[in-house]
Amino acid sequence: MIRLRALLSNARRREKVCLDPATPDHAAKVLFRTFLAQFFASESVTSDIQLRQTIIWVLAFLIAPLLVLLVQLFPYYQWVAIRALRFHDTALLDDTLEWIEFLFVTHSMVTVGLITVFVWDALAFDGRDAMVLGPLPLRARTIAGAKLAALAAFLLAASTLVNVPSGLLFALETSDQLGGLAFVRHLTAHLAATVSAAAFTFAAIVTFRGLVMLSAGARAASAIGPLMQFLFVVLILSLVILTPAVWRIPHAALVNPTVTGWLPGSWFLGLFERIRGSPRAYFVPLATRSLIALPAMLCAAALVSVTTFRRQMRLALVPPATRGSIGLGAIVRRLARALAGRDAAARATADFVTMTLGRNRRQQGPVAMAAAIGAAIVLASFTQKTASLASLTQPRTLVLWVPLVLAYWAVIGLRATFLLPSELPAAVTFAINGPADTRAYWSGVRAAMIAWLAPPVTLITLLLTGPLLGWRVAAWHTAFVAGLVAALIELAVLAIDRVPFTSAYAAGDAKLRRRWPLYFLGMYAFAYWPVQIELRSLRGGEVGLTAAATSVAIGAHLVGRYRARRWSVEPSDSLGDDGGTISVLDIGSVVPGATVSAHTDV
Amino acid sequence: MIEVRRLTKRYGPLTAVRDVSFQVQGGEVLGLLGPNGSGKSTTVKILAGLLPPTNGLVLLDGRDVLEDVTTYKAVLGYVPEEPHLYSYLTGPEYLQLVGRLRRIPDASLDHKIERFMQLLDIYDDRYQTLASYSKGMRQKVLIAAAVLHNPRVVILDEPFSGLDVSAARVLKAFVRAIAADGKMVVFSSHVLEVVEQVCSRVVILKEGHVVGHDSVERLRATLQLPSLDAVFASLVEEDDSQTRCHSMIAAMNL
Repeated sequence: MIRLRALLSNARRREKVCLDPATPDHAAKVLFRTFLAQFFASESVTSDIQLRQTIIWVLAFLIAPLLVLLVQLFPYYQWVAIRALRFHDTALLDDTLEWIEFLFVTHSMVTVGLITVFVWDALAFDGRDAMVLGPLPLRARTIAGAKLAALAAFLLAASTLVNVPSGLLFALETSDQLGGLAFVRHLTAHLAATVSAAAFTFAAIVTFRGLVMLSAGARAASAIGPLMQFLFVVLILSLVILTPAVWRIPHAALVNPTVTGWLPGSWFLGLFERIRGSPRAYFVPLATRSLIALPAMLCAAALVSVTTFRRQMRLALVPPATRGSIGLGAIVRRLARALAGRDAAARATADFVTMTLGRNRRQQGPVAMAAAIGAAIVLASFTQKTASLASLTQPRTLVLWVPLVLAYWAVIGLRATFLLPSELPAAVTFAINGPADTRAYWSGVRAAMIAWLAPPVTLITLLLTGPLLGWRVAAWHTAFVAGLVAALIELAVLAIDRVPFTSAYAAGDAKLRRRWPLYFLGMYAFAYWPVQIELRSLRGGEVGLTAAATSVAIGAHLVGRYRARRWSVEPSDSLGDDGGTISVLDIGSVVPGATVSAHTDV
Repeated sequence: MIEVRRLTKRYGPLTAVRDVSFQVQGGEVLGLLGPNGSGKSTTVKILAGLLPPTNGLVLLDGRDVLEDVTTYKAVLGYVPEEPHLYSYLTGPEYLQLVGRLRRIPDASLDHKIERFMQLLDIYDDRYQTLASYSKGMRQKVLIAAAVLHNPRVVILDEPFSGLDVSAARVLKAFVRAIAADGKMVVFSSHVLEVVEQVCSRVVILKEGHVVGHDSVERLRATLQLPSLDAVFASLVEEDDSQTRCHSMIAAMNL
C-alpha cells in the first residue's frame, strides 16, 4: 500500500513537471511580450523597419502641432514673464501658464486616447486568447497579470513618447526668465499632470471597453472601435485646428473651476498648479479630484480586465444560439444586392464587400479615420466662418459642401480599406469559384460602395439643408449631391482592379502619405468648386446642374464597365499556403517545443 | 476524361513536379499518394487551375484546360487541403457566396444549402460564424461548397482531415457515389486506408515524379505485398520507420 502511494506520488510529480514545463516567471514574461506585441500587430505594416517608421510618423503628426504652438507663443510668453518680473504682478503670467498647461493636458489626454483606440482590440482579452491560453498549464493570475503589465507598459511608452519631448520644451520656455528651480518645478509638475491625465484617459477607455464587453458582448465591444477612432481623430484634428481660434478667448473664461470643474482636464491642471506651487486656492479641490479619480480609474480598469478575462474563458466554448438581430448591416446588404442587379456573381461580390466591411474592425478603421478628417474640416470651417446662426440660413458654401466633404473623405477611406487584405488565404474562394466575366466584380463593388454611402449622405444632406435653407433648396441640393457622389464612386472604382480585400497589401499602396496634397485638391475639385457653381445656378439652373453631375456619373460608369474586363482574381503562388496567415498569439515558447497559434480574422 | 500529360512545375531552381502523366476516366476515383514534398499539392493545384504548369498539359475531353481555365473551373469542384474560409461569415453565408459566384439561381441555392447543412450535420450551427467551427465542420462546409454546382470533375485534397468517424464514413460513400454518377474524381490523401477503400486506381509520387501508377490490387499483386501501406512503404520510404520511431523516442528523452 505504501509502495503504491509512493508510486502515485512519483507519478503526480512527473505529471506536474510535464504540465508545468515553464516557471511562472518565465511564462509571465513570454505572455507579457506576446500581449505587448499585439499592440503593434498590423496587416498594413510588413516589417520592423516599416513599423518603426510608422510609429515615428504617427508621433511626429501628434506632437508637432503643440511644438509649433510653443514656438509661436514664445515671444508673447517672454513678454508676459518680463512684465511680471518688472512690475511684480504675476496674475497675467499665471493665467497664461494655466492656459498653456490646460492645452497640454488636453492634448495629452486626446493623443493617448487616440493611440489607445487604435489598439482597441488588444485592450481586452478576446475569445481567441481564451481558446489558446485555456488549455495551457497557466494560472489565471499569471495571464491576467501579464495582460495588465502589457497594458501598463503600453501606456507608459505612449505617454512618455507624447509628453516628455513637449514637456522639456515647455519647461525650457516657461522658465526662461524664472530660473533653474522654476525649470525643475515646471518640468516635474508638467510631467506629473500630463502623464496622469494620459493614464486616466487610457484607464477610462479600457474600463469603457470592458464594461461594453461585459454588458453587451464581445461583438458589440469590437463594433464600437471604429466609432471611437472616428471620435478621437475628430478630437485631435479639432484640437489642432481650433487651438489658435480658442487662444483668443479670455483665459479666465476657459480655465474657470465653476464652469470647467467637471472636466478631467481641469483636475490635472489643478495637479500641475499644486505641484508648481500656485497660490490660487481654487486649484486645491481640482487637484484633489485628480488624486482620487486617477487611482479609482486605474483600479476600475484592472478589475474590468480581470473580469473580462474570466468571462471570455467561460464563453470561449459556448456558441451563439440565435441569428444576430437585423440591423443596419442587413439593410446595407439588401440595398447592395439590389443595386448589383440580377447577376448572381455581382450580388455575391456586393454581399462579400458589405459583410467584410461590416464585420471587420480592421477594415472599418481607415473609413472611420478618413470620415473623421472630413468631419474635422467641416467643424473647423463652421467655427472659423460662422458669424451668427442666422448667417447659416442663406445658401452658402459652408452649409452646402458639408455632405460632399464627408462623402469625399468616406470614399477615400473606402478605397484605402479595399487594399487591406481580409483572411488572404480564403481569397482562393474567388479564384476557384469566380466567374469569367469580371464585370460582375466591378458591378458588385460599386453597388456596395453606393449602398454604404448613398443613404447616410442623402440623410445628412436633407437633415442639414432642409431646416436651414428650406425643403425646395434641400431637394435640389440632395439631387445634385446624389449625382456628384455617384460620379465620385464611379471614378473611385476606376482606381480598383480586383475584388477588395483579396490581395496582399503592398507597402504604400494607399499612397496617403505622399499624395495628401492631391487628396486635399480633390476635395476642392469635388466639394468646393461644384458648390460654387451650384450657388450661381440656384435660381433656375438646378435641372441643368443635376443633369451635368449625372452625365459625369454615367460617363464614368461606361468607362468603368469597359475597364472592368481587365479585373483580376488570379491567385498568387502563395495563396492557400500558410504563409499568408497572421499569428496574433503565438506562445509556443511558453511550452518548449509546442507552437500554439490562433489566426486572426483580420 | 481528364488527361495529365508530362506535367512539370518548377519554382526557380526547384522542380516540384517532373513529367507526371496520368488519366482519370468518368466514373472512377483516382488516388494521389505521396509523402510530404512529393509534389502532390502542386499537382492538385495545377489540376484545380490555380497554378500554371511550367511544361505539360492538362486535357479535359481532349482540350487543353489552360486555354480556357474559366470554362474548366465551371465544371470543377475543389476541396483545398487547408480549410481557409472567411471566418466572419456563417456557414450558409459562405455557401451563398460560393453559389452566387457560380451563378446558381437563388431559389435552388438556398434549398441546396439547407439540405447540405442538414445532411452534413451542421444545420444547428448555421447562425455561428466559421470562426467558431471545428476543423471537421469547416471541412464539411468546403465539401458542400465544392459540389454545390454539381461539377463533372471533383478534386479532393485531404478531404477527410478533421472529420469524425461517422462523417468520414458517410463522405467516403459519397465520394464513391459521385464517381458512380459518372464524375471524374481525384482524391489526394496521406491516409492510405482511406485511399484503399475509396480509390479505384492510385498514382504514387515521390520527389516530383510518378513511382507507381495502377489499381491497388494490381500494385499489390505486382509487388507481392499484402496492403497498400506495404506497397507505399516499398515504393516511397527511404529508411526504416521502426528505426526512425526509436530515434524519436530517444529525442524525446534528451
